[in-house]
Amino acid sequence: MYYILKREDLRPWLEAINREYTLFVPRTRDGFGPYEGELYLEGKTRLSAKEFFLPWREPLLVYEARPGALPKVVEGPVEKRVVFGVRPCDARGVILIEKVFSPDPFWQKRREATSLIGLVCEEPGTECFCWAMGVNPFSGEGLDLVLVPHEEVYLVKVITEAGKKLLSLSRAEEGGEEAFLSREKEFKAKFPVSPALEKLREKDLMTIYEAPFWEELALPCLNCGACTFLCPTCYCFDVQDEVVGSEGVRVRLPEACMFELYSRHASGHNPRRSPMARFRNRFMHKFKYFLDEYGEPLCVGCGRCNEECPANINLWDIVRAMSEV
Amino acid sequence: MSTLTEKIREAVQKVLAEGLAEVVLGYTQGSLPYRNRVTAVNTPEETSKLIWPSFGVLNPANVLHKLKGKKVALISPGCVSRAVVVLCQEGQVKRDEVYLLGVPCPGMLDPSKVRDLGKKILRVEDDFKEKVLVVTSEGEKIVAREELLRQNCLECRHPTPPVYDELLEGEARKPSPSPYQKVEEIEAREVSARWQWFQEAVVSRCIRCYACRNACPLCYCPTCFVDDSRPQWVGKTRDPVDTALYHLVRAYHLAGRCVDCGSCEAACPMDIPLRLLTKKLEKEALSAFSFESGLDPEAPLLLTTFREEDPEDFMITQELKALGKI
Repeated sequence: MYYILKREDLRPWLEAINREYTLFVPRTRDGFGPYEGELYLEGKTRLSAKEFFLPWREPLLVYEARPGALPKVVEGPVEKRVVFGVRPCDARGVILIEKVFSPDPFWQKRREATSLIGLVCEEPGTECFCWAMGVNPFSGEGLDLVLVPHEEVYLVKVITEAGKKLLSLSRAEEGGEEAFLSREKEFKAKFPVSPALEKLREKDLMTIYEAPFWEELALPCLNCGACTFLCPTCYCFDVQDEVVGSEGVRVRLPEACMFELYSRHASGHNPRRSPMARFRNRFMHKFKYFLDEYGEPLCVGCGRCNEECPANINLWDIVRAMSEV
Repeated sequence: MSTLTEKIREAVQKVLAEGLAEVVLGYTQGSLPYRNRVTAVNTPEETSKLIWPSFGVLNPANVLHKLKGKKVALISPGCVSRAVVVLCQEGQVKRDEVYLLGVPCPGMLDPSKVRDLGKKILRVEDDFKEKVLVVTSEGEKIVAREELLRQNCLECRHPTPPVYDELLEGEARKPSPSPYQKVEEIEAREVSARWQWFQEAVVSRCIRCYACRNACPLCYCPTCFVDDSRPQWVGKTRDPVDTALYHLVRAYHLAGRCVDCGSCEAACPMDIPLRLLTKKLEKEALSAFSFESGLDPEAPLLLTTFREEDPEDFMITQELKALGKI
């Protein structure tokens, strides 16, 4: 089902959604927040929509910190919420993370409670390459609705029943299918999938792992967590017990494979002790282990890593080296 | 090509040919017109990738720990030289194991100031003196260099390296006459307004990626206090109390040590004005002790030094002497 929404009808629609649900929007370049009027639509946000599903602090258990006390499982978030302005790359990120997280009850609850309204980019950002990673922004994958800015209107494709219900709060009118499909066709013709992916599928894992290029490429890397925390597909986490007085909370939080602590064992042994080993692991995970396991790379081409990496590490230098070794 | 780039390549070839160093740390062109990357050069043939950068915002002294055991030369503007000096004073690096190829620094440009000049930045031409030509998807702009400089370069007191093994010819920026203007703007506020600034500008924006710590050439503790687990000093989530503690301790740990290279701020993916914290402590060290860090490898360190005549009441030497006990 396709609809047309006039640009001037966007705000009234958001207001209407906000009256019935808790609405989150991209507020500034930094990231999403509750809708209070501020709206950033010029490009993707620095922090991705993954923050809605893998928050910086997810309480799992609460307990009394004394011997013999039994912990209680936290019920988790249930409040219905709508997120507007999710870029298709971020939505695809949710789908990729779900391949791993689908059995997790906290993930499930957050997914069930959240509707996502997608927004296709007016044009690719400086470091964008979603198409190269096989993302079709027009598909609506992972979304309830997808909007395409087109001349003076938004072309809207309805993906789910929930999406249809949300759209019924707007003044959108049926139509625009032809324009939507021709925009999609145009995009696909102009932006092909990277041939590197096929090469990576065929490459022997150990050949890449033992390749000589890793030391050189990893040299400038700071082993900070900027790329992993901004990445819409990095899902590694840490579990911490936060105890104040006799009250304990076990929380889950984002963790970065770039950190030395991430792979350090309780014995003190660390199988990825060198900064290079940690650097290599991040890219092996995204472009070999995950690819072999699930058939797709763990990357949606949002380009945040390339844009924000303090050391100017560029993902393509590594993908190219890995696929051509 | 910038003449400084030519001079650097020539000097580096000589350094490698004469065995003054096994490896040279400098900058190369990055993946965007407004980014440069730290790189290592091991052979004379590789020197052609070295450039004098407009956007050399990370301090290459930070990579020294990855090259332990090798004699390393560094392309050294003032702040790189000073960071190495502090590392020498603190026993992390031996002065004769590094070769400082000094460059009188004209100041570096701020990548985000250039990025914001247009939708897409296609090319940047920097004359390293007065003007920068920025070609964007919307057209060309000529901007005064002064407007695009990094804040720490605008506030730099030592653009010419104070310590070096060899100094290339060139014209450095004049030392800043007002290095603490931004710090003073915050100082002038009420206590509550300063706390609010700290919470809003620093704490609430931080994602705990530790890029600031990892980019710092002087943050080299084998185990950072935030990574300790027995005891665990600080929580690991983005809880404001934990994040505030991290930033306060990080800044204080750099008191009397920070050389204001600005790597922390440049590294921050959330554009947090981190330098203001360390700059404030630099100002304290200067006003209380007339001390500036990283100027002399033989000089004592500010916070590990005392004199018997120091006025603090815990200095009891004079008292003991008067009593005839020592």
